[in-house]
Amino acid sequence: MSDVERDIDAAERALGLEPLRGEDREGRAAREAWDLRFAPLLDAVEPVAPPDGLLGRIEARIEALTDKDGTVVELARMRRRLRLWKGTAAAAASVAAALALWIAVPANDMPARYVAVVTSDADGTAGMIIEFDTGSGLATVIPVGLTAPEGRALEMWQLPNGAERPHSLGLLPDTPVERRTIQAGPGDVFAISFEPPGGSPTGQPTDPRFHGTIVQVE
Amino acid sequence: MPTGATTTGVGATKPFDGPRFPIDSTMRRGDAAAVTEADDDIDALLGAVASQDRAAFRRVYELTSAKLFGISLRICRDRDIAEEALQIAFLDIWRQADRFDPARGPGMAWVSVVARNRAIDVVRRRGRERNRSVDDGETALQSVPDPRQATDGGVDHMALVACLDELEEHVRDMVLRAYYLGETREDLAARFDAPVNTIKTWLRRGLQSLRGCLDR
Repeated sequence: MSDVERDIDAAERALGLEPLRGEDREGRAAREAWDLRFAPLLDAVEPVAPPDGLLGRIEARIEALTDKDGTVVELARMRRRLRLWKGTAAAAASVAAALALWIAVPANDMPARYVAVVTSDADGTAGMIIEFDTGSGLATVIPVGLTAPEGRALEMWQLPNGAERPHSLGLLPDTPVERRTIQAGPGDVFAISFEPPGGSPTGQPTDPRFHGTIVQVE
Repeated sequence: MPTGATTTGVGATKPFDGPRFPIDSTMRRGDAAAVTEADDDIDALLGAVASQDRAAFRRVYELTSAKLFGISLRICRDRDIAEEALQIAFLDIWRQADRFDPARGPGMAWVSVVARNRAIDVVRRRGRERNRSVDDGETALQSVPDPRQATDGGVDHMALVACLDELEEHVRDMVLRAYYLGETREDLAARFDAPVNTIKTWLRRGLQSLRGCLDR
């Protein structure tokens, strides 16, 4: 199927002729672009006073949602923080680009997005963001303002969910893009440690400084 | 660079006690202050809603609910269904405000699209009886608004109106009926007395012309 045809498919979904369910990430981006192209049309729609008490009913549903499932709110907060951090990464674009690498994760029938935000144990600042896209089977690692102290190297670690000991994912590379294959899943913990040049001499992190786990965001 | 000597976690013998996310209370205070200054700026209000600011959410409701109910009602054609769709739309706005990106379009457009897409979703799931849209005659709610009458008047709006005018009249009418009234291909097939596949072909050609015109 050509790019144009895919884009017309997206336009059909934006018009409401086809369901939005089952969109992959590219399909969603293309449809949202059409949403915005058509949006000026909605300006011509006459406003109609909504039923009395509607705001109260909506707020009651928000309360119910928050009480029953605080994680919904937590996820919204986390997505926001993630965006702020990505802004930080973009500000330090040269650093981020220099260290970006890809990790393959198992592709999945149900595309979902997961992130791991690996934060400093000392002050909670983000050190590294890993975005997992199970649709494409790729994860992007974005170091955020990470610099190793003089004479030390930064080493990445993974503690698979349920495992007792972490294993090394190697040193953060100096090369712009690097591909490595790993298995990853929900509940895995990622960490960064300070190590001697060349990596940990023991095979275990000697001075771990940053931790974070994978959370599903959509 | 942090210098703390905490070693809890991956290398330690005791179990990792979960991720430590930063506490962003200063950030949220900052947003709350921005709201009082922002007044009726929907873009800024949505930024505050993304930080779970309920006062900002109520203000967004006050500023947009009549427009969004109008959008929902045209598609749902039933006050109760339109209200249900609008309730879910505002829950979406509450939960997904962090997805709004002012660089891509104005906040009013974003909330309008949320309301429209939710109304379409609710109507499709309820499986509205198809004939109703065709046999009810032209009530006020079933008339197609004239995009040229919109007050937006921005460059994007003018381009869209001009490009829609370049379509063949019946195709333009179909696009607007699908967009404003949520009509399906089957609805359009009945109205224009043509097979569903023909409607599909006409609409795809129309959308392709529209795409070419808007990219010019």
